[in-house]
Amino acid sequence: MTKPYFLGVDIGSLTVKAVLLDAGQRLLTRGVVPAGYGGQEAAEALVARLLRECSLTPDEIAYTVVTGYGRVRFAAADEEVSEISCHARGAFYLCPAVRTVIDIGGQDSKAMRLDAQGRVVDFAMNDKCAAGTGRFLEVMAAALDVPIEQFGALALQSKHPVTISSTCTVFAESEAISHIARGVAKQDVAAGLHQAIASRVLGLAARVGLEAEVMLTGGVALNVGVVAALSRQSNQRITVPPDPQTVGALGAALYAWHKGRR
Amino acid sequence: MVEKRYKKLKTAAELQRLMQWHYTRIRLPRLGRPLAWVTSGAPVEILRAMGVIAVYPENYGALCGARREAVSLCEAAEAQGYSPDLCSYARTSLGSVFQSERAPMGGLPQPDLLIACNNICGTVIKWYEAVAAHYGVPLFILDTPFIHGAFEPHALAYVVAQLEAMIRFVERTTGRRLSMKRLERTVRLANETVQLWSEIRALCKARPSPLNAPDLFVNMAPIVVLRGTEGAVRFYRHLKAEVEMRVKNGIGAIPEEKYRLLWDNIAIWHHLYRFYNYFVDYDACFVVDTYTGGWSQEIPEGQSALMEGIATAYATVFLNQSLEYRSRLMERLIREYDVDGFVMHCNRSCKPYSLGQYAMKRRVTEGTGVPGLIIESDMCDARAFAAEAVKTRIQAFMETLAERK
Amino acid sequence: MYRVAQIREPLVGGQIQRGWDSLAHPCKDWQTRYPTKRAFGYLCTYSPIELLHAAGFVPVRLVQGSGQVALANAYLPSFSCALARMVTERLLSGELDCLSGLLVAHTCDTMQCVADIWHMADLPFPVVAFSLPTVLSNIGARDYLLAELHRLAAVLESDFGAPVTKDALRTSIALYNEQRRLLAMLYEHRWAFTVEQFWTLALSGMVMPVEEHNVLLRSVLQSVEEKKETDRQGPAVILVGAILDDPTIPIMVHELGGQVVWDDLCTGSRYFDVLVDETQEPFGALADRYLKRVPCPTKHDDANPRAEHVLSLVHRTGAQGVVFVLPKFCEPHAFDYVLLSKALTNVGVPHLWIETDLTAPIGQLRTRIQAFIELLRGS
Repeated sequence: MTKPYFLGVDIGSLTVKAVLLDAGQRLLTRGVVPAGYGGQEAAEALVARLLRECSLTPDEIAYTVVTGYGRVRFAAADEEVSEISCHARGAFYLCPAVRTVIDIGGQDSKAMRLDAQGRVVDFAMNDKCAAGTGRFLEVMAAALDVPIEQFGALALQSKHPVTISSTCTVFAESEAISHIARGVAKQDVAAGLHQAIASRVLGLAARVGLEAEVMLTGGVALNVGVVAALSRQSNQRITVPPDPQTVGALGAALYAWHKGRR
Repeated sequence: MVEKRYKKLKTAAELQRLMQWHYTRIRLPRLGRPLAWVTSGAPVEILRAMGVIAVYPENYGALCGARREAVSLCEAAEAQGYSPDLCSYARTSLGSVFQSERAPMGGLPQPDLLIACNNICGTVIKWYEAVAAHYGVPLFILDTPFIHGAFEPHALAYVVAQLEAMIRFVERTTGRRLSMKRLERTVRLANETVQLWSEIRALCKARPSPLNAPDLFVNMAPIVVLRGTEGAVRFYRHLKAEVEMRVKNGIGAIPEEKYRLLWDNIAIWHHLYRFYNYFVDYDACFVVDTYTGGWSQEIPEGQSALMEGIATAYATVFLNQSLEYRSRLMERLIREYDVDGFVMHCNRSCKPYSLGQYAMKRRVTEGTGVPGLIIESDMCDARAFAAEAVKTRIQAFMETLAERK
Repeated sequence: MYRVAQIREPLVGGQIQRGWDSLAHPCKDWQTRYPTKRAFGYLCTYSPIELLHAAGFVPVRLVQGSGQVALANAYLPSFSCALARMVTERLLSGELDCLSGLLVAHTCDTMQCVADIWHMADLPFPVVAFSLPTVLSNIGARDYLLAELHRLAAVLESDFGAPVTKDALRTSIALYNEQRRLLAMLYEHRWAFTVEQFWTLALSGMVMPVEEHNVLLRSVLQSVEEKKETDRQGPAVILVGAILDDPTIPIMVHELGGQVVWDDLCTGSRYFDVLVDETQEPFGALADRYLKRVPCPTKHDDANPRAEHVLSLVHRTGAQGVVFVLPKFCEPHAFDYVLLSKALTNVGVPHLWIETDLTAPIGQLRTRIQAFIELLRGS
């Protein structure tokens, strides 16, 4: 029996992603769902759903690679690979000119620098501190009573962003609320907050060195305000791929394709 | 609105001119005069006597902090791999070296040599190692062993031996010779400066105090960066005259002095006036502090023991002494200046000054009965200041003091 | 796959286990285990433990261990390293009450402060400061260090009733030199042990009498077969950092396909680096060992740059990468890291930076180490 399909699964702390490739490395389907508790069940359900949508059965999958925070316990995987390598691989596949990948997830952020062959030469991670992650934006959007999906667009409306100086999320929130209390326009505070997260992320990226092309991945890449702030502060063009949250899963699927196609 | 609460000194204009002159003149063509970067606790008298221009990266850090331009320099250093948990003077200084275009005045002029003394902390050694590596210039470190108990004779001998080696180092690096006559003269000027500054600070024992913390911090700059010069002596003479006049006429630094406070640690440069104004709102004046009194040791004059005098003065500065010594010092200041409460700045950037504060606070309150408050911030990095949290603590503390009156 | 040594269970195996427990809790059952011996705590490899031993004490190294910080929060602000906070915690909780004294050598600003903080905390035993010089290459440093060693000996006599004779010091030096030689041999034969056995053997020596540790090391090394280079698999790395007091990270490196082949750690090679010259007058010989060793980041030595040492370790061991294991809030290591990182980048050696703190988030460690090993494999 032939098994020409390859599966990549990225089990994050907040969302689970999966990507299915065929033997020609063509994308069949991909999906993102909330992780729920632990991520294992959500991952299994997502994979099952994607297979159904493509009318495939599990034994038609030649190889499965899992990555992400919850990778250690995913039973169906043939192999687990770090998120760093997977994000780099996925990003390079989408854009071979990419040399710096910045991933901003719900609870962490990372920066990777690649060489001309797409290999990771250096990486830096922030998984200790909420500032510089999606969590920061969630907390701030809630503080300003703005739906998270509209937060970035609101920031773009500002002509006079305020400066938020605190590096700590708790204190930054306090600063933001003080500004609102003093009557500062919401969009100006929002813009200041977007500048703050961009500054934080660029500080992380500076540790590996920012080299063009720069690609932004992860759920926060959907926030137009963050993309604009990153671009402005770094003076670089920032590429955002379609479905930026799935780049890690794509990389995992590519690893699967590479390992499994014998 | 913030500045109106602050009573400006007439000599403020002279101070500004003096400091501007310092920062301008170090950028002029040196005409063969060597330039050294120097730590605040280094024996600058030797350098001045040899005609070496002395420049102070710590003072530059304070300046950047006060101008609120330190954060972008810190970010520049962090981009090079320096941890954000490191001393913010060091990060600001290194950031100004890596990205001078972002730095006030384009940063400090490139040094020909570096002199660091660890009597204030061990971080200066690492900082200056980084600067030496970057510029490829020679570094001399004066190692003053920390005094947990007594200042031992073998420690004194060690520092004296190093001072002599330092002189040879500077002679070798600059091609200049040290004249003992010139050194004696420089020491005389330094001693006079130190004495004047001590007298000025002592005038704050008056009620009301003629000066508040911002005055102390702003006016201590010449004693750090211009100690041993005629200009510094002149300035402090004028300042002393003005402060004496305030005392004579009963003019206080703040509109109404109800509470007299003691300040411990380096100033919060990025909120210098604003922060102390939070206290002025409660009619509280900082009449004395532990930091600006750091330059209070006179060097015994007379050639035969001059090296020993310099060695002792620099090795026994208060930051090189035990927490018990510093606690006793605080207790003495509280008694002498009739202080109602003390505030300790828990400064993320300065471990030697800050780590012992919890233990010292308990000891000092036990010894004097006077309550204390600890405020967390950073001297230079404005990102580490949470205004609301700070105001809440100050309010609670001042309410405590009010109850005691 | 390592070839496991024929460790003579259960006697030696039992000793290894006890040694392991002791590292975290050195005072546990001290009276039962060593009823006639007095323990003297110390923190750093710049502590003259030969002197403590010659005075009749068992030098016991205090390491970070694991646990919660509660009492120590009243003594240290949050921006102090986990070693300072955890040792403070254990001192305050009474867990270290078996100690007769505690020696704090002058290294960094934090140690400088805790020596005084502990002194003021009214512990049931004296805290003794040893102010060795910071600039090892300066004129007068040797004379000063020698005088400070003599002062320490005098304090041991006057405050502890424990005089130090030159003969006793010579004997102690010989014992510690033997331990150093045995540890170096252990390092050379690390392939004969599991990662956990290796680190337990190495680290447990810091909390047991040196005589015992020497016997233990001799007995495990006797039955070791020669290492075979071909047995080594996976990218080789060296660890550079401060206190590593448990083998989580080296075990993780191994599990993820790499191998730790050497280190520059306070609890690693820096403990046994360079022997004391036994032909010399003993106090002078002790002083010279500190001056000869490659300095740690808290010391400055013009003649002995640390970067060159790390590069030579990489070269000598054939390591492909360096893993920095640095404590959060450790200024000396954090400053050195930048210069070392540049030096390694200049010669094309990849390196990973791990920052440790009170707790070790295993998942996050694993991601980094795994990513680094994948990086090394790729290149």
